[in-house]
Amino acid sequence: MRVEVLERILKVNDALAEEVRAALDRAGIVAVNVIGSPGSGKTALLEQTAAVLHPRVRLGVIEGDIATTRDAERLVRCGVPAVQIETRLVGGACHLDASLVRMALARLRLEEIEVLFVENVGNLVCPSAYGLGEHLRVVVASVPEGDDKPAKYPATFARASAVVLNKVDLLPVTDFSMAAFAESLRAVSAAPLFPLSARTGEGLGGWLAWVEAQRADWGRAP
Amino acid sequence: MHEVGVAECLIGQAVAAAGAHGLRRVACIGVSVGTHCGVVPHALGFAFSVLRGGTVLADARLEIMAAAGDALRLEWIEGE
Repeated sequence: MRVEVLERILKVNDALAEEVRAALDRAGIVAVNVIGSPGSGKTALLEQTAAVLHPRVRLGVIEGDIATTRDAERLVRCGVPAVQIETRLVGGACHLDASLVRMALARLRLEEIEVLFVENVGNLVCPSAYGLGEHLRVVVASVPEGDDKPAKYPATFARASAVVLNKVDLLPVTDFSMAAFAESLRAVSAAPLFPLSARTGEGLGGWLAWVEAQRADWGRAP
Repeated sequence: MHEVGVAECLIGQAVAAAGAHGLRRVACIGVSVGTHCGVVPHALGFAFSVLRGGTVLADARLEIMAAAGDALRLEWIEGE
């Protein structure tokens, strides 16, 4: 006999993500899931963001990596409360899931945080399927990766609330086409695009204004 | 890349559904996999075949149905 089941396969993750989201909402925190390739500059972007916004906008960071606590240490040096999830300790996962974020939340003082960045494991594929309870998703791409990334990873770019294109200081030494990147992004997403360089600071203003606007829209009133 | 984790969830849910409906042996399960869900059907099938042993799904066939968007759903189970 055939029995209809009709269940989302990751329903366990979905349920935990809802729990995380409820805890964030109670604390008045807007959470941003940051997804990008290894080396795209996710941590560098957060360092620059912290350098300007924190503590006027009180940031917090959960760092996901397969191994090492380096990224969390970089953010702690910026004065931001940061905790590291090392997925090697839980099977070496290629992505964060809601249960890992829930555990990390317990290590942060939520009342001190207005905007929480959750930096996912460097990967443009797997993090896309796992909701973490976040309000927003940001995809960080970078110039050396090439201008075809939105076309090649449509599932990830299609769900972005905003897209950062990092390392624009390298444009003169690459064949990267900004028009081609923008066009392939527009084919899958209407999300705002922030071309910038976390190294030189060029273009950071638009991104920082966007982050601050999200706090006003989702989180506590400033 | 994370198909093993997905297969583990799938098997857990299918075993629970079989228990709820009194099925002692599941012959086939139907799963829809969306084009944008980040799961590779072939890899999911491989992970399923490795992990199903020792459960009521030990001999179960996995029928994967292509779907749109980010669907990733256990649609039905079939057995007796």
